[in-house]
Amino acid sequence: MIVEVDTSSPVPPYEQIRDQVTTMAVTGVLPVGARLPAIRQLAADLGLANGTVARAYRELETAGVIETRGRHGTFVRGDRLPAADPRQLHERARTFAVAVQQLGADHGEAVSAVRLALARLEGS
Amino acid sequence: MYRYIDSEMEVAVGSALFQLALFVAVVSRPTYRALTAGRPDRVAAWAAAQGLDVTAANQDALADDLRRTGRWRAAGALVGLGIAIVVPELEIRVYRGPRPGGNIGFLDFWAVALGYLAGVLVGEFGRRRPPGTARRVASLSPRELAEYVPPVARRWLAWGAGASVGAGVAFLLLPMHDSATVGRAVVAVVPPVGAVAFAFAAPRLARWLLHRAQRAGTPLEIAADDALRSAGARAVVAAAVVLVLVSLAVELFAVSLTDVEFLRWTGWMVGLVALGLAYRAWRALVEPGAWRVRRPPLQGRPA
Repeated sequence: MIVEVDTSSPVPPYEQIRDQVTTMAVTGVLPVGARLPAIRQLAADLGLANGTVARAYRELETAGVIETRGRHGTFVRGDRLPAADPRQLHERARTFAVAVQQLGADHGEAVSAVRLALARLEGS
Repeated sequence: MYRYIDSEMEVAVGSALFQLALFVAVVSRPTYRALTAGRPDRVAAWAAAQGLDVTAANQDALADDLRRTGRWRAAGALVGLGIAIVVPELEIRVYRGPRPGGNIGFLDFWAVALGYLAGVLVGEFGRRRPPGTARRVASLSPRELAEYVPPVARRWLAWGAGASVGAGVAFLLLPMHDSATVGRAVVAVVPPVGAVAFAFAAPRLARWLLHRAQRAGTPLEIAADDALRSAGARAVVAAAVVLVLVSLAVELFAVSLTDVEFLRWTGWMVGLVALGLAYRAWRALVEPGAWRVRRPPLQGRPA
């Protein structure tokens, strides 16, 4: 399970972490009960401030994706994984569509790229 | 009169030579290992013990890291040895009053172990940080202490510190004919407090080393980095185990000075066993093949 952050992206790093962990938890790539790294470890590995990763974890906890069990660490929750929010989905799709337009890709290329990304996710 | 002074001098010189030989025996092994750590055959042996494949891509990095950390560790132990030799000399020359009771001389082992610990930390500080690029990748698999350091080592720390405190309390409470109150309090309190402090701090220091930035590269690169991290964390814990068990030995030697007949005969024997265990535990933790990282291999691609 790997998380990737692009610091040159307009999307803030904490949102990138939050979205990737949510996707992995919803698709089962991160199994229920899986322990996540300590904030310090993930922040050091990604070269980010502790507060950035802490914010991502906090938002994930608020959304019910993960839970913190005191000194034992942070775990993926199994009981209350969030259902896909159509409004958020459309918003992300619009952002992607803008990127496709900026890159000069056509409709077919964009759809294949999404299909490929989803297939990779399901295969990982 | 002169004959008495001569024999006292001989005992002092003999004791000093014995301690020096003991210390040299203790530090000679890490020094030798440090001087040869970067040799290709030693790198290959280290990698084999850790279950790693040595390739053209990782051989130089492994050799550099092993050479650098080994040299710092040996340098630390040697500085500790120097302090262990020089400080008692200064103490004899400067401090002219009666010395505190107990076998305070064994605390010199502390200096060697502390120097080694400092060397480990300095060596780890010198580890290169991953370059700061815009796209950064990290594993979501936590680096747990139990995967990098044998869990038994933490039990040694806890038991050693607990026994040291128990022996310290016993030394303070048991009847003693020669009652140098101040010295007695120092011997009863300082080593156990030190033992508890090291038992508390060592796992935290080791965890701090594990949580330092790791470059997410190929599985082989991650495995090599994990093996080096494990070696650093084990060296920290090994130094702490030695410090704790030497503290216990000091307390046990002190207990053998009390008026309880049974303890007069058994205290120093158990103290010697604790010293032997300290050396054995240290070797068991720092040997290349002592422990292999148990972290599951890295899987998956970015989401």
